[in-house]
Amino acid sequence: MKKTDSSFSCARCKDAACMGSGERARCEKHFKEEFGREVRRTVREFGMIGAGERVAVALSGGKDSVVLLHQLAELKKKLPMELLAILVDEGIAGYRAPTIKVAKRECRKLGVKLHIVSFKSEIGSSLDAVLKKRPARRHGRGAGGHASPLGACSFCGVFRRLLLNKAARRLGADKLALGHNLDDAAQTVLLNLYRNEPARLARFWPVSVESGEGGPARAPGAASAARKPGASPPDFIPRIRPLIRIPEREVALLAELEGYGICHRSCPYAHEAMRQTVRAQLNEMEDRYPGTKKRIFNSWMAMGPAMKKMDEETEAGPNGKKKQTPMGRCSSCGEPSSKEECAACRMRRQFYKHPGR
Amino acid sequence: MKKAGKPVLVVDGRPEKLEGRAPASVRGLLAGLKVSPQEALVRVDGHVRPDDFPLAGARKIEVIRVVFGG
Repeated sequence: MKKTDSSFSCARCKDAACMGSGERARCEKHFKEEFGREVRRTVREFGMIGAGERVAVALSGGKDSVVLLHQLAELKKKLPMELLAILVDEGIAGYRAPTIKVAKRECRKLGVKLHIVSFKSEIGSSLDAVLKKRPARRHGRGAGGHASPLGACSFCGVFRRLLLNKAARRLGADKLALGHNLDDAAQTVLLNLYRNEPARLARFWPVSVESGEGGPARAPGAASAARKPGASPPDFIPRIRPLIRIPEREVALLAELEGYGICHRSCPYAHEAMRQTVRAQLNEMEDRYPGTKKRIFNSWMAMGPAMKKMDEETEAGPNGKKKQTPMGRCSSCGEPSSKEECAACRMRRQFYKHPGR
Repeated sequence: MKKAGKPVLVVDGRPEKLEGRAPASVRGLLAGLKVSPQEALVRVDGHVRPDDFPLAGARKIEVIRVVFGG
């Protein structure tokens, strides 16, 4: 790459920068190198992957999961592991088909086997079909409004997690790798604060090992809890988030620089999620006060173990709500659940009780 | 010497018109388009460039709005 004005040149080699400024300016080569180093550091620090483990990547065909797949394929050269990918086709017309194409192409490139599961085959209806039947949604709880009993993202999220866990278990995966990045983590922290869900926040951690979201059960630096060969897979496949320290914009930048051919198309239901509002707020904060997302993440990392302890010790839960029980099984379907009945069964019952409402 | 014209602007693959004076930097361009720098990548003459990169002399600017979440 050509040499350029020093204010826009890489702080490492003086080539033209593609990101950052001053000491943080990086050229393409150094940006890619540091990206990979950060992923490896996160995997190592949280003991995310043990040698010889079977890792299922939750692949949507979007930038995060495609970048994750490539990063793990690269890591595989140094840390022996078996990689496979699982894609959940929710059945969203005009949105999912192009990303499936990307997922298939990238898996073919890397020689990774892709397993596709769909809402239609697993729960009987596509997301579009389910949402067509729901009552009209009015936003806000005040002034006569009420929250819809079936928000698109709540329904989709619950069943996507269920299908991913089931598929990962069926395929004998030791870990389920998710493409969550720094922005997702900062949003999750704020969302759980806004919703008064400290117990949920206490369970969110780069490695989720024991419940719906896990929690800081394993100290940073601890070795991966690899399953012994021949042992039966656990009900809940531990989830790992190797991109958790990387800002979303950098994930997008890597996807662009590597030419992964990602479709930048938004989910037609995305506007319904409260997360979008939090995302916009956080982006504005990041523009004004660079480093905000990282500081939220670091605060959460510092508070996580204390919150987990408080959550375990407090009878009623820190927010006064009824505390969730440790991970057990759903009384209806037998899947892992922290409540007597899992969220998927509750949603199914709610929907099928009034399917035509 | 002939004065350089306005650069060609492409947003999400579609050509757009640059109104008024050409923006001085990537950040200024995004502000004019009302796009958060957090939500877009900008290629200047084929190369992705940082937010403060000057646009003087650029011939083609591509704004790629990357979908976050969804």
